[in-house]
Amino acid sequence: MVGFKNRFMLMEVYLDPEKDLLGEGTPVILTKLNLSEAIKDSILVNFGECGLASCLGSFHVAYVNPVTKLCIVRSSRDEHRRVWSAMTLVRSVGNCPVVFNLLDISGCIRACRDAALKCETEKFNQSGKGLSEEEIREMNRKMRTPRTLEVWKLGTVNYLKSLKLQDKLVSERKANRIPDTLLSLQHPPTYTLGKRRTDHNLLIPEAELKSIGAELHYTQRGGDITFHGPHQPILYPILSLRSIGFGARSYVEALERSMIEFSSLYGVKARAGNKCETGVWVGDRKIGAIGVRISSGITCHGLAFNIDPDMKYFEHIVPCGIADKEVTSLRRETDAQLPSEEVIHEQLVTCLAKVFSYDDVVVKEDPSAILNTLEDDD
Amino acid sequence: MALRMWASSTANALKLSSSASKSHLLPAFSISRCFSSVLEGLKYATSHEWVKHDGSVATIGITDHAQDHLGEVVFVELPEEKSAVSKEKNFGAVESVKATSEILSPISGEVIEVNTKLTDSPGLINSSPYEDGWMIKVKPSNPAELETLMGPKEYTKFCEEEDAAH
Repeated sequence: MVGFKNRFMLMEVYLDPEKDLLGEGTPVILTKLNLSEAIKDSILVNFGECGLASCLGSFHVAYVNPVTKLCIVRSSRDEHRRVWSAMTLVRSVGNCPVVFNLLDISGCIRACRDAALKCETEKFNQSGKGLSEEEIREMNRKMRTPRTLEVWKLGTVNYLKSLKLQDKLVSERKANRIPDTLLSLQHPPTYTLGKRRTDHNLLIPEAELKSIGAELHYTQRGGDITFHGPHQPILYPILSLRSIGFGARSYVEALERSMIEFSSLYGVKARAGNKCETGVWVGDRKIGAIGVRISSGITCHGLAFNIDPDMKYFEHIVPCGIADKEVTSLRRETDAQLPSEEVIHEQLVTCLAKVFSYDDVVVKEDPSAILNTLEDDD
Repeated sequence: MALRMWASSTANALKLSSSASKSHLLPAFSISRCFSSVLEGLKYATSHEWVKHDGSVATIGITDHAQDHLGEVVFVELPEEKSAVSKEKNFGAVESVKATSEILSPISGEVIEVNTKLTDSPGLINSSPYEDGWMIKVKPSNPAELETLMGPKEYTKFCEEEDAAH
């Protein structure tokens, strides 16, 4: 499944092209960080803030070899020419004058990696050092393996069952038995509370919930009370924060950006919340909610986006503990024709995968079978 | 160019506006790594907690780097006095920006005191992570565990590598 198009560019970096560089002692060591900063700077100078902002979504330095001076840079297909020209115009990395030379472009990182390996082998052979099997294997290992996101499409799932599933997946992820995983689902009408147990924000007695067809659950996630129900897609990313280099705050901000990006597909201008009002808003109305739990660096719970839920359910709570703000939905914010729910879920997943810079998105076959093997809740 | 980047990230961190500052519009840049403080005399865990060992009492909290990456803390859950904590096992949680994060104990032992001020003022963790924001005081059951933790220089390098890798 290719949700979004990328281009991977294999570049060779010539250091100090004026001088003769046959000896040891290169003036700057190339790292992902300094290359990435040099290229971003060049995009900013040559294409302005707007140019930089449009490139930044998919821009990523995937691989750098400071010895052979090869690097693989990823960019979205739409922006790759801009990034390519910016790279050609980079004059220096750190204090060292450089020249970038494009060796290969391809649509997937594997082809690029093969080209890089071939080029590096030739370089080593040329410089008189033969490459042993061991060294080739080592270079293969060094090349960053593409980051894959595994997506489970689960349909409507009872809340407790989803909690059990998440617990199981979190320990699997912690033990590195599974890659970063994303659950895409919906819940039957359910109210949930966060770790702070702010049940004073539930405005009807618990006993009455059954009569309106809803359940109530206490959870360990952050955030206040919220409602989940049909026509409200929910994403639960089970990610290793350390492997994506995020802290709690930057993770939550990325979740917000995913929903903002998704809203823009329908022309809805959403924004992140102000301080202490985490979530996604259209004006003063909340359209997307976030509540996350991080356990040993692995995330669970996640986000919920209102497409067209039954808004009456929100009247029975003070949503997210914020009294004077309304809740809204995509249905209310746009006149555009909304596609099927399946398409909407896929779009939301694609936006999240893009914001988190995943190279590959793999939809897991028949994950509903996994749900049936979870012990029944009695 | 490096100097310009440093200057603009300084300006951004100090919330000054400057005509040369461009990094305010680039959320992908991590600027906080230049400014997290690391104190001498403390030991550090890879999960970003610090330990201050004073004779038979060890004080535990989270580092400046950790509180910066968490955002503003709104709720802290701490264990009871007399409960046991184990090395690298979770003993409590903090909530910030709708995310609850577990805190792992760097050492094993018995909790002898808990910072009750954090219930009313969880923000102390952000404003004073090494002093008023301390979380629990523990009687270590295995002092050798302290040797496995990092010193200030190692921890600073660890943070830099973590931030630079992405």
